[in-house]
Amino acid sequence: MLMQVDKKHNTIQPIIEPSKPLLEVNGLKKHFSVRNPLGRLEATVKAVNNVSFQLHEGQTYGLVGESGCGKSTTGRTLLRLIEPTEGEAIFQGRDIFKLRKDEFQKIRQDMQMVFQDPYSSLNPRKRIGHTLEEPLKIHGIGKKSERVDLVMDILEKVGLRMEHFYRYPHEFSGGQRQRIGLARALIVNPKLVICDEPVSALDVSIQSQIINLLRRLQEELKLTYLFIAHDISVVRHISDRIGVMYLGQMVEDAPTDSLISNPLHPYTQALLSAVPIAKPNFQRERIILKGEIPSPMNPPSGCIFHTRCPKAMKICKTDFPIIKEVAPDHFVGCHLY
Amino acid sequence: MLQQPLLEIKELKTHFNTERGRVTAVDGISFHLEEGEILGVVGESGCGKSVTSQSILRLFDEKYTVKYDGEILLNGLDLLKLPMSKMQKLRGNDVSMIFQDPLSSLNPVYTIGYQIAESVMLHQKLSKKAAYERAVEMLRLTGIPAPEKRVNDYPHQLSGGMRQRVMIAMALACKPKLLIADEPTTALDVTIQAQILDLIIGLNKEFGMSVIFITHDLGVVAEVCTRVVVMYLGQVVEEADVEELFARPYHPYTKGLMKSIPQMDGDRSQNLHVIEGTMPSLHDMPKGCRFASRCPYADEQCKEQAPKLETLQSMHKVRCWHYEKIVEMEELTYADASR
Amino acid sequence: MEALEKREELIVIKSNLKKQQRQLFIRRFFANKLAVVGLAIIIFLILLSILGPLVISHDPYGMKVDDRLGAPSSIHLLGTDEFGRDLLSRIIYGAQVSMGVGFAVAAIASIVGMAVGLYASYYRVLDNVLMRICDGIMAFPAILLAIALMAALGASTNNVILSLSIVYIPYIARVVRSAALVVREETYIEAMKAQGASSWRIIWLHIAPNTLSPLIVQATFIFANAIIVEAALSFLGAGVPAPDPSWGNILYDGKKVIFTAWWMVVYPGICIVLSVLGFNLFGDGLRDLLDPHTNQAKK
Repeated sequence: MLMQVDKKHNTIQPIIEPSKPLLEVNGLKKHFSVRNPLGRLEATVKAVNNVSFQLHEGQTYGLVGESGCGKSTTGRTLLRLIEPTEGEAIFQGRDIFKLRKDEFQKIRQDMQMVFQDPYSSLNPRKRIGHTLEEPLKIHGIGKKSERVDLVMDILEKVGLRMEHFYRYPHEFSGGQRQRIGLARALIVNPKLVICDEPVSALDVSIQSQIINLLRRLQEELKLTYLFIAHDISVVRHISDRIGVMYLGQMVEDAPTDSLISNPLHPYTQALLSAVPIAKPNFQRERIILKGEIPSPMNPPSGCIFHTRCPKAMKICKTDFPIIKEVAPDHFVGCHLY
Repeated sequence: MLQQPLLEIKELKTHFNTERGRVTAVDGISFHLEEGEILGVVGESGCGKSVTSQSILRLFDEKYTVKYDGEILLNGLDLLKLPMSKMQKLRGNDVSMIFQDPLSSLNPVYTIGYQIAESVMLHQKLSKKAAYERAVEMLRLTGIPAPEKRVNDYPHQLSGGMRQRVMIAMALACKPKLLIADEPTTALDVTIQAQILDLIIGLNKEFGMSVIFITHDLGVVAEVCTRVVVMYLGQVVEEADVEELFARPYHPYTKGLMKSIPQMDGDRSQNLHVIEGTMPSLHDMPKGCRFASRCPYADEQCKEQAPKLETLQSMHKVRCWHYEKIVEMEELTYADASR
Repeated sequence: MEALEKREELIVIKSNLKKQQRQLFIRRFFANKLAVVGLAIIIFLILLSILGPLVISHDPYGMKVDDRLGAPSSIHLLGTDEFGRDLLSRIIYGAQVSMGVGFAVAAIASIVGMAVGLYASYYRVLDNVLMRICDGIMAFPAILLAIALMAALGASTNNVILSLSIVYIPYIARVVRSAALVVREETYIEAMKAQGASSWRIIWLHIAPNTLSPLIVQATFIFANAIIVEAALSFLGAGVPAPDPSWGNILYDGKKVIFTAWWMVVYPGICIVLSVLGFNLFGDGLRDLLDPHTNQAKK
């Protein structure tokens, strides 16, 4: 077994051979062109700029960041709902961005998505059973009667009942709708599920029901999650590894415990300190960031965070910080390290 | 002798007429607010917390849809008995409100300076110039950089956090005694939320402004409020000082709510605590305790008889038949676990 | 066979639920008094046009020179026209023609207009082309365009239907397109794209059903309008050619003798007003019934 010296804790730890990544994203870029009414190019919005990360089988990768940081765009490009500008995504040994549409169609069955808004994510004119049957039809799975059986199975798995088969979406509460959204993703037996803010529209007591359900199903069905959310306490609870995004870039990427207990990037530190804690008089140093997130149309030069960074130095204004492995398996893009 | 509270709500009921009959969204709510206090009103969607706040300003259509019962006393004056014209004078002047969505609360065709100045001139005899100066002063107070320039901006030119600052500036322009903040940070990012919460706490400390802070987020409550009212299905189920409430929650709903949020230092390998089921519909209200259908401790008594809001020592109030028993039970299991 | 049992149970659930939902729909429809009146008028007119010919004793084409412009009497209940034909039987046969034209126009315009609207909303390039054509058609007053088309195509009942359909396609296309533009942005459409659903599937199985309620409402108004414009065309002599009766050409014939034979004008006029009223009331009612917001409140 390989051994490695952990300098910080002065212990020797075995290096756990990392499982083969299920999905490896390298240098993902998505740039949108903003044109004026006459069709002239006015600006380029770098919604996602050079983002890399790996998803390991059976694990959850949490992607956090504030609105406009590009985390949702990242999730959508992986399903090619938005075509990426540059970069590669290796899934089972193949770059899915290079696949033809019909080749990618087979991959879609393995990569599913759960959406944020439980109200607009279900077709109001379709009965639940038919909404759930639709993916099976698209992927040509089973005969009619087999499909009905599969729908009934999945309803049970996500904690709904057979009686719900012929109901319409408006007859369900937000939590139940999110269960249906989850069922629609899981019915084709995927390997990877991209969860885009799956609980942020739900009430606290319902939120915990869905989080537990997500975890139970992950274990049962050996799922891999890409969990996109803005609520760090939720992401911390469910993720094995967390990536923090700011203005289209990944600023920190580390195992959950390492990131939460020892955040290295000043933005991560500020983000963590801003989370309201349900303990009155909880003593902590709160870093209040000044100002607003700059417009992605006109991002700052050098380090994108330097305009708000409490620790900004001269070099931050001019030089772009390269992402480095600062602690074991803990990656940061910041000039401090 | 106790000082008269700034706001006192006594047995407030708000009934709505709907197609399927009358619905009581707020059912017998009582609480008070001392001067200089930040009172948190917590609950999940549908618990009636927003209806309560809008009832205080009487923002519903009283001709067709809404009927009020009870009293809302502002400095001893019953708002529910005031004629509408008096009520309109009072809104924005004595009591102001800020909402969750700052974009739809601002008129897109006027500059923010105009909108703040307008609300000032509505209530106070100020010249246009003085009103604009007030607007600039307010914007500066809420921490907007270069307010002299910003007064001439239109709402779409500002970010979400800036807009919420403008809303607060507008709400404070007439120096109200009471500010009702209805989920003011829910639509904002955490780092911006932290800025706005800081601003509200600062205004409270500096000017002694009283605030009713309505939210679903217990973390936010713990950070800004001094006292908390917990609501469930149109009723107050628990009320206490913020430290008391978080240290010793009595009502099973409050307990469940606190346990079901993922903690930053919680055990990640454990499942989150779950409050089973969903909130019953207002159309078919339970006969007994309203939380009985989801309560792990509920028995026959809970299903049959509705408990009253009891006042315990240190002004802690709870609406539960079994809170004492539950505390005992928990102490026992705790003792077992530690043995 | 657990799966089989489950399936059977599901069928029972389905039939019960569908019954419930149908009952709720009917109950809500009948709560709207005006819509019920509209529906009653429509049913009356349909029955009149279908069953009427079986009951009447006079031939609508049979001329009797002696009975020219006869006032309403016990033999000719509504009087006769200038060729001595029985007015009642002509109005009943005219109902078939007028209502048939209305129905055919509404159906054709709906189907074609829906396709145009859906594809325009989905493909941006098509949108520019199709919607500019629609704008062009809509720039002419309906009646003027219909006359021009009739002049080009020649007078026949089928050509009346064809030209009126062309006139009304843009009205449906506009309504469908604007509804579809909203639906297209909904997350459930994105969810279908994430599944890799074909454009055809997304357009026809997922977007189209959500545009049906504004479409149906618009179609009822077009039904009513088509009857009016057909009448106007006939009135101007460019509609359903003689000797076939339609409410419009009866009215046209009556114009010349309006001072001597008032019944020639009044009775077909009443029929036109009644049918338009019926369809408008019914359309209004449907709009309320199909509006998802009112459904939400019912939850």
